[in-house]
Amino acid sequence: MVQQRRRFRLRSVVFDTIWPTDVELTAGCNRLWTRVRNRIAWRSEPVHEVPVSRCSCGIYATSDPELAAEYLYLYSEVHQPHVVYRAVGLVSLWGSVVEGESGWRASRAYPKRLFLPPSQRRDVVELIRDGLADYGVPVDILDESETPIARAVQRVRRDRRRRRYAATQSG
Amino acid sequence: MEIGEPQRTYTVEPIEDPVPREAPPPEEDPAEPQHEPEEVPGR
Repeated sequence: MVQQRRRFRLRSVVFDTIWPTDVELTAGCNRLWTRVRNRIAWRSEPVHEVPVSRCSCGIYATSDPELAAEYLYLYSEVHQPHVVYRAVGLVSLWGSVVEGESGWRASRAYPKRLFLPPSQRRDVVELIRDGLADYGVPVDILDESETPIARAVQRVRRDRRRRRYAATQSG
Repeated sequence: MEIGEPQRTYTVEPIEDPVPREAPPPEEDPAEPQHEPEEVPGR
């Protein structure tokens, strides 16, 4: 997520898309070829519907909490000065939907519930939680509870620590 | 995100609006209509 004054806004991990707070997020096609075509004025045919099976576009969600939790760290080694924290959550998807083996991609989405991983700076996480209030959905700071998402985040964090430890030992 | 091969495509609309939109402010009550004074029969 990114900070805009005292407010915090959800941002796509992959694209620079900001999730609005008072209206649903509507998917576009961000594939390079589609974006290039959109900038060529003499091509008048509309961009394809979003999502469609033959493309990879749409707003993604997974039924696997661990896969979602992995995104708390995706590109975390890349310098992203505007990204202040990561969140994971439940989402409502609707409109056109392509259903895959382990998830969905849809044309419209809005967060249903947000979870913030714990940090040693509890005060900072609480500030971020309060700054997400504009979304009007519950925002929880994850703890050691036994919910599926809390367990998934704990497991992903543990695996990352082990991999980093193993890397230091082998290096 | 890897969600596997597409299994099916469909359209779904929510029963309730998933966006917690702010409710519009309540309309003010219209002013009480002024009643014409009743005609009192003279004595």
